[in-house]
Amino acid sequence: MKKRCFWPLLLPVGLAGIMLACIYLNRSQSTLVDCKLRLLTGYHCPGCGGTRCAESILTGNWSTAFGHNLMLTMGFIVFMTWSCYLIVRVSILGKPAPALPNVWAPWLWLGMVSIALFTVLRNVPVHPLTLLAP
Amino acid sequence: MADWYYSRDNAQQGPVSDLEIRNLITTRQITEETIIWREGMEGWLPLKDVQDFQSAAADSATAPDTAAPLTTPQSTSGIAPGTAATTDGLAIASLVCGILSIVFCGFFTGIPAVICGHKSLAKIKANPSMVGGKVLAIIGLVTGYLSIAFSVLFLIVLFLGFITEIPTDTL
Repeated sequence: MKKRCFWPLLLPVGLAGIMLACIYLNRSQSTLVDCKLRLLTGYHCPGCGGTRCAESILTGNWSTAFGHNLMLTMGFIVFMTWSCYLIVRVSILGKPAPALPNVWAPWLWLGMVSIALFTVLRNVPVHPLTLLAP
Repeated sequence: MADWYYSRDNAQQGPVSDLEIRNLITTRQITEETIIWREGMEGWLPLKDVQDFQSAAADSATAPDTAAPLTTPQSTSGIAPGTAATTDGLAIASLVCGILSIVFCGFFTGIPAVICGHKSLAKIKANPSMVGGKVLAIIGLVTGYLSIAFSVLFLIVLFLGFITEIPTDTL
């Protein structure tokens, strides 16, 4: 009998919960989800527009979601794809999850460089890079 | 000729003459790494560093050596992070938390980043050849600390805003 673990199901649920919490906080006049970097320095942090992005995704406006925060929207797609893969592999097929230490190092470096690049580029006030800013 | 002492099987041997030393080299009972001493020398030195025997030692060293090498094995510390035996899961967790804390300007994931980072570094330090990911853990640590520092700074500014009654709608 294959052992079935159901923790991968928590992944999309957890993410949806976080997105809903951000949207709720935003709507309830709280300043908790306002970008603090922007408040202090005026620059966009990599997460700027994240709450607006979450709202667009959950209401189905994908084009505006990309406009609010390209990186987070793509990250959402990647995360959901990976979660589906894990759900199928671990919860349905019962195979063990791929171990964390086996993550191929270049992927991590690629991710970090992309985030850094995105952060720098979205703060450049030159069109078309201004499309990256929320 | 001065009397030489040499170390073999962790015990001091000698005194012997130069000639004896040379014989020992030729018959490979001692190698260029064997430490030797004579009166007048400050401390024990490997044969290869002692001028008198450098050529003799060099000659014997070029011949095939059947004795076990006395040098330590090649250190693995030059291996790039991530290509060591396994990357520590905690290091990756620290990195992910750290990056998330930068992306979302918050200390929520900054604190686990710092905790995981320190634990991971301790693990890697204890077993460097088997556990990799040092750079990843360091990045996680740095980003974690940065986000915590930034959050603290922000809270201070906010607090100052409250107590000095700077209108917060301009922030």
